[in-house]
Amino acid sequence: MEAIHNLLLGFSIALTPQNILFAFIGSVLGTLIGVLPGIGPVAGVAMLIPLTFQMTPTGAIIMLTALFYGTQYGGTITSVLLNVPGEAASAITCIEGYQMAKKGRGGVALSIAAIGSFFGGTFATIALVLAAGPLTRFALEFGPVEFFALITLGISLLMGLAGKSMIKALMMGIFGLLLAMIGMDPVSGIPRFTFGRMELMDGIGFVPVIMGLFGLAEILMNAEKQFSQVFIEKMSSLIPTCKDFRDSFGPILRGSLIGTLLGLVPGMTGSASSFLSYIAERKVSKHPERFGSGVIEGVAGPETANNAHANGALIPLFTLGIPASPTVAVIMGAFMMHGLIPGPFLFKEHPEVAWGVIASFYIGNVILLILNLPLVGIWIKILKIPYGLLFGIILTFMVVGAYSISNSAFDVLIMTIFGVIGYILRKLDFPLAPVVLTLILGPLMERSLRQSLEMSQGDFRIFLESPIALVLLILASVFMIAPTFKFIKKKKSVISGE
Amino acid sequence: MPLIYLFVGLGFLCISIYVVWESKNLEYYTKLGPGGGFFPFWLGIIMGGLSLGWLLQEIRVKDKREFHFFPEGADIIRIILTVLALVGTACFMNFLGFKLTMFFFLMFLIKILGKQSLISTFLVAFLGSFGVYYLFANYLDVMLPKATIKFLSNLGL
Amino acid sequence: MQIQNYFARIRTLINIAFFLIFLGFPSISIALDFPQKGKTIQILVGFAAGGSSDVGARILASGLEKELGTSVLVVNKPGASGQIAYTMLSQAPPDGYTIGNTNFPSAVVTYLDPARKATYNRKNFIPLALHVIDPGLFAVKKDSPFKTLREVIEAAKANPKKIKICTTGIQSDEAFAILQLQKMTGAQFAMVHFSQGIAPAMTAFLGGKIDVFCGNVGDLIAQFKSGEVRILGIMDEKPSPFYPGVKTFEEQGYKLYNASSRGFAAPAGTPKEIINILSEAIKKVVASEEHKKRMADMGLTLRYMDPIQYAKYWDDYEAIIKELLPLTKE
Repeated sequence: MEAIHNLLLGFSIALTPQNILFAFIGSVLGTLIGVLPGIGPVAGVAMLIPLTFQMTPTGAIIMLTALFYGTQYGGTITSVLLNVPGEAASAITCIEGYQMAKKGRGGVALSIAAIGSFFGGTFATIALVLAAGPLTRFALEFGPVEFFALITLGISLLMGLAGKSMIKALMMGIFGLLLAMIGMDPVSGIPRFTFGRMELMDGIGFVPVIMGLFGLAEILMNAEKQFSQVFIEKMSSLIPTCKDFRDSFGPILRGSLIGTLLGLVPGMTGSASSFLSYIAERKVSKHPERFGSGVIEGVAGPETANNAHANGALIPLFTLGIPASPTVAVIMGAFMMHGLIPGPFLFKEHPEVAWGVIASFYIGNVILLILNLPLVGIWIKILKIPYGLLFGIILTFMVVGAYSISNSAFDVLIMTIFGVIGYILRKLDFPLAPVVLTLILGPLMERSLRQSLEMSQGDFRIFLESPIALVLLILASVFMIAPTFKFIKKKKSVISGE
Repeated sequence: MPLIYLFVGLGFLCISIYVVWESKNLEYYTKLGPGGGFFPFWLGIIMGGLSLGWLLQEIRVKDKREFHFFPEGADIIRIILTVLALVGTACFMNFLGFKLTMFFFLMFLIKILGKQSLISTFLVAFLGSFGVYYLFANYLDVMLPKATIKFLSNLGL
Repeated sequence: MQIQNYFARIRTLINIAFFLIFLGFPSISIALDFPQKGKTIQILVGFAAGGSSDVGARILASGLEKELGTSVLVVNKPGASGQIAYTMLSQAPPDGYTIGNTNFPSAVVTYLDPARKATYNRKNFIPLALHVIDPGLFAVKKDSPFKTLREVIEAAKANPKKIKICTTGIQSDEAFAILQLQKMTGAQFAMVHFSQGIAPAMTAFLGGKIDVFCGNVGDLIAQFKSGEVRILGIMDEKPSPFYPGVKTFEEQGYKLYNASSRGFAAPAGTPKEIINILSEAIKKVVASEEHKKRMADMGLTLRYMDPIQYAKYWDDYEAIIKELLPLTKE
């Protein structure tokens, strides 16, 4: 097959010592940037572009793309060990991963995350090589109408997150939706719920909110107990057991698929992908009630989806010349700065660059795996620092991180406020997952609804005209109605049983 | 029912009322579909209903246990002080500059709340403020705030 | 006695003279001193790092550093479509060490739109230079039934609100361009706003969900090269070097100029001498070959205007937007 020939050509270029070095540097820097909360992939890639001016185009792009998916690996570390999401997409990992760390299984969580991430990233890269064409055509089918249906399906799965108290989960879901409405509304461009503050015109900023709800709330909880040692449970072996591997197998496969497919759709964020993977795992699991206490499926799935998404988002760049996310847009800029125009033309004009970069995706993923597995041991050691000192360090990171998102102290304030809110909610046993879900998906839903109606000039039938949208909406209704029936049945049996 | 439940429930109720009230100023429905006020209006109403429902649910719970919800005494003060320190940092960062604010912030937190030794406190505070500043400014191109008070900015802070 | 008086008077005269000299010279001495080595000039950019406004500013900044001999730093203060950065710029000390990127239409819209409650307006800024313009364009897919610009406009007239066209927001430069065209021709398009950016708009367009693509010159370079799209017209006075063979709107009978543009401004109150030093430096950098090449590599159309020309451009643009703004609220 021609693809194999080209791939071999690509490997011959990617495996030069120089390019391996660039991939290595990119991976390391990416991991470090991912660990720093707040400085997301976009800023990281953008900051390093000037450095790459001096390098050859191939080398520069290899380094930047390695950095890009390296940040996904880094974000996991702080999520699992400190309950501080390194960046938006790692928010989900906090929910299960941190619980695992508290039980002494932090090392296992990190290892599985690294392995799953490798698998997801590689899967997406193989997809790029073998099926770029059909996958891209699939992605193009997703206009605003289909997008709305997909998001609605995602939110409908919220019902499945209910856990113990349906009413509390719903309240949290709606709370998240209301938060998502802060900012300029997509319809008329008038500021909504912004209290007159400019900083809120773009919405409330997802990262400061989750840093507060998860990271700061956790610190406040620990403050109750005089900052005594938090991680008393002895860290068990860093290597996952056979059972862990078996449990993670399904989630990793599903996560790879979900992440790759959703990464193709421009407008879909990595956090949405990882969250939908989490929900899928919960739905598929035989013991959904265990979720929230530290189940490995809740780490394996989302982390895999995360990395698959990051790699999958690069596919439209190569096949269509469209950047599927802001980070990829920066990489596209890097291409152009070196005089290369990404798109199908690149394969004809500069096949050695195109295939060299693609081959280096494999290599990058391998490097990251090799880099991160041993490092897990080192990261765990950090937890041995006395908490009275450690929490100061963590807070420094969080303050700097929150500030550096938009160079604004306002975000630090938001983080603090939501830290208090998160603390109170946790004490009252309100589930946080629904808030995160609706906060991520809410804005996407309102906007795509508006866009769909702009296309049809107000006619709601446009949703029925698209087969994809129709299927997704029917599924969404099923997911919303079924749990309601179960809930009513339960109430009835409770009442009749009394 | 513990007081805090009532407090939070009413809190959500107030939020719902505020949202419904504000959404009156926004367009409910436009030519093309739901306007800016449509979703907040209905979500506010649903949220209000749910908060009342939850409060009723909790009132019915016959739990004789004494709820010490929030930690007492020194513990709660520690939490409050941490939060106040963060708020102060956010507010003062743009006046006193990052280096100075973070230095005091860390000294306060680690020495007084974390009860660590002076040496390790000072070390971490110094690295966390001045060290981080130089790291970010020189290597990461991120400008952390500088002091805007004349006297301090002349000192290079 | 008389000699002592004489000396006293001369001493007084000399004192008065020195006093007057020191009073009169400060402004000149400050300007001669600008920029002081070691003091950083910061350029406020109201958009995120890595975006095209940011990249253009950074390329200019690196050129200015060499030209002015002191460090020039880009500081990103994104948010509220640039309003946060513009507010900061209007409140910055007018000493020449803080200048800012001014994007149209956002810079103008943020103070003309009463809903945004901006604390500044045109008078708070002194234009320094226009740097980049990104002219608007219309495009269709290569298999579209529309072959020319005229066909699209006629179709939009015949089927009001049925031809779907994309923009990057309710108050984006595309929206203003389409409103102007609608006023000019009586055509009515169905505008679909993609406020997240141009990428989802491009996807919807390539996926066939949008009939006509409205965007800027910098957006379709890759697709033009691969032959996927047909560019119907450029909204500029002259054709674009990035799209050889494509006519302008004017050449096809519709005199429409519209572009999103990026320039630079200083806070009002900055002394004239400093303005001159800054604008001369920018002029030199922009004329250099290295700068031209780097901008072209990024797909950015360089168009320089000096402070006087830019001020006029700004005022004219503001007048147009003022007229169109109420239409965006419908």
